[in-house]
Amino acid sequence: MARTAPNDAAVAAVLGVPASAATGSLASRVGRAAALVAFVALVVVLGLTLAPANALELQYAVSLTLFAVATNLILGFGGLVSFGQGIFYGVGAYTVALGWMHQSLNFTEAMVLAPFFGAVAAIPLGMLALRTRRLYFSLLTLTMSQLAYVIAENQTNLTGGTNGVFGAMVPTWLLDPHTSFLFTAAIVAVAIAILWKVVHSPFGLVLRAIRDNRERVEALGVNVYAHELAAFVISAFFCSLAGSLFVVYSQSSYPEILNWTASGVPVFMAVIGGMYSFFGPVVGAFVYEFASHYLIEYTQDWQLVIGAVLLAIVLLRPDGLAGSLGSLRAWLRRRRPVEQATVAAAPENAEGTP
Amino acid sequence: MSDTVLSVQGLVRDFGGFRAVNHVDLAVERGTIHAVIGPNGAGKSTLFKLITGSLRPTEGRIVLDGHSVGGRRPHVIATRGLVQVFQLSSVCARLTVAESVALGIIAHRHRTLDVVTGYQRRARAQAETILEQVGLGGQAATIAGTLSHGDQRALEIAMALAISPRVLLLDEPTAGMSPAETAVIAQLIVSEARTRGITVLLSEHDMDVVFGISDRVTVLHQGQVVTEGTPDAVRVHPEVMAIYLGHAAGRSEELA
Repeated sequence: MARTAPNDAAVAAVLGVPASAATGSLASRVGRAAALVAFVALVVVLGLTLAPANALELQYAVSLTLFAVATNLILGFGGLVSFGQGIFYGVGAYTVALGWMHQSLNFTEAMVLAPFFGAVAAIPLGMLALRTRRLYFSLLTLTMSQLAYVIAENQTNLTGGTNGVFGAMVPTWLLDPHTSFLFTAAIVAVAIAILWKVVHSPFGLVLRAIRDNRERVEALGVNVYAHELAAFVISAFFCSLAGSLFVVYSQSSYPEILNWTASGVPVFMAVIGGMYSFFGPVVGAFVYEFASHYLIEYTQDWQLVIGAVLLAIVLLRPDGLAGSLGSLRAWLRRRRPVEQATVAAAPENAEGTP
Repeated sequence: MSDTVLSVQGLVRDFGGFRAVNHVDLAVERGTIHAVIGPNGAGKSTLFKLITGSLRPTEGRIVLDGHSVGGRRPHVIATRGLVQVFQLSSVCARLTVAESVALGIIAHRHRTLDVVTGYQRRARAQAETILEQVGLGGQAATIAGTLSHGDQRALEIAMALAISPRVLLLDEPTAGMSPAETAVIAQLIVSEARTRGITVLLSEHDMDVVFGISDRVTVLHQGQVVTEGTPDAVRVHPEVMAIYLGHAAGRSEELA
C-alpha cells in the first residue's frame, strides 16, 4: 500500500477524492495533503512568473474555482441543481461596482460586505425556491436569475443598465497583475478551506444524507428545509465572494454575469470535474476555462463543443473526471497483483517501481 | 399501573370518499412490543403514516408521552422520541455505514448545524458501538447502498437506535427477507426492546414473528380495530380467524 500511496494519492488529491474517502490510511492522507500543497504552490509560482496577460487569465480561473466549489456545496453535496447561483455572483460584483459608482462604499468595505449581501439575498430566494423540488427548483432558480438580469439591465440609474459599470473601482495597489493574482489566490484558498470544513462537518454529513434520502433524514428528527436553506445561504455567501473577485479581475460589472447561462457555468464546471468530490469542481473550473479559452481561437461554436463534452460526461461518466480517476485507480489496484509487469509500464505507475 | 407511552384516540383518515382509518383507538404500554396486524388494505400503513406525521389525520388525537402530536411535521414528532423504520429499505445510499449511524447521533445531539467542531468524529466512534450491537461491526466503512437487503434493514434499525427513541415504529421489519434474516431481525428487535426499554410498535405480515415476539396484538380490518389482546387471545379470536381464513379462501379462489 505505502509503496504506491504517494503517487496515487497525489493525482487523487488534485483531481479530488470522494468526501467519504477522507478517512483513508495515514500514508494516503499525508500523500493527499502533500499533493494539494504541491498543486497550490504550482499555481502560485505560475501566477507570479507568467506574463501579465496570462497571469490575469489564471487569476480569473482561480476565482472561478471558488464559484464552482461554492455552487457544488448545494449541487454535489446537497443534491440541489440551482441555475441561480449567478444571482449571488452578480450581487458580489455589483456591490463593489455600485459602491464605487454611487460613492457609497469604498473598495475594502464593499469587498467585506459583498458576501454578506449575497447571503442576505439568498434567504428570501432560498425560502421560496426550496419550497419546490428537483426540476421545479432548477426552473425557479433559473427564472430568478433571469429576473435579476432584467433588473440589472433596466434600472439604468441604479446599475448603469446594459453597459454596466466600468471604471477605476479597484485601488491602484491591486492593478499590478501579479499582486491582484496573489490577492485573489489568497482569498480563494481561505474560502475553499472554509468550504472544505463545512463539507466535512456534522452539517456536511447531514447535507449529504438529505441528498441521498430526505425522508429518512426527516424521520431522524432533522428539519430538512432549514438545513437546505442554510446550505443555500452558505453557497450564496461564497458565490458572492467569487463575484466580488470578478471585479478585481475585470474592473467592471455588467448584466451578462447575471444571465442564466452564467449561472450554468459553475454547474458545468462541477459536472465536468466531478460533483461528488470536493476538489472535482476546481479541476472542472480549470478545464472549462482553459478549454473555452483555447477553443474560441479555433471555432466560433466553442459552446457547441463544450455542450457535446458535457453531454458525454452526463451520459457516460456522471461523476466526472474525479469519478473516472477513482475508477481508474480501482481498476489499477485490481490488476496490479496479477499483471504487475503490464501496469508498471503505464505512466501513472512509473514512479511506483524502484 | 398502566403507563401508556403512545395513545391514539378516535383517529380518522379519509382519502376522498374512502375512509382508510375509521375511528381507531390504540394504547401502547411503555416497554412493550405491540404488533398491528390485518389483511392488505386494513389501514396499517395509513395508521403508521398518521402516527409519524407523514399524513395529517382527518379527525382524532395522537398523544406521545403526554404531548399531542397529531398533524405535526415528521421531524418534530421524531424529536419527541418516536422514530420510524420504513417498510421499504431506505438508507442513504452514498453514505458509509458508520456515517449513517453517526448521522442519527448528530441529529439526536442537535449538532446538525455544527460546521465548526470535529463532532462527527466522536459521533462515528459512538456509531461503532451501536453497529456492534446490530451485527454490522465489520461493515463500518462499507457504502450503505451496497449492503444486502437484510443488512440494510439492520442498518436502518441502527440509525433509529442512534437517536435513542422512546418508541420505535417498524413497518413490516422483515418484509422481503429470508427466514434466516427474519430470525436475526426479530431477535434484534426483542433484545433492543428488552435491554434498552424501548417501546416497539410494529406491523408485520409474518405471523410467526408477530406471535413470537409481541406482548400485545391489535387486529385491524377495513380501517377499524377488530380486537386487541395478548397473542394467545388474538390467535383464537373467532372474528380474527374469520378475517384471516376468509382472506386465505379468497386468495385460493383467485389462484384456482
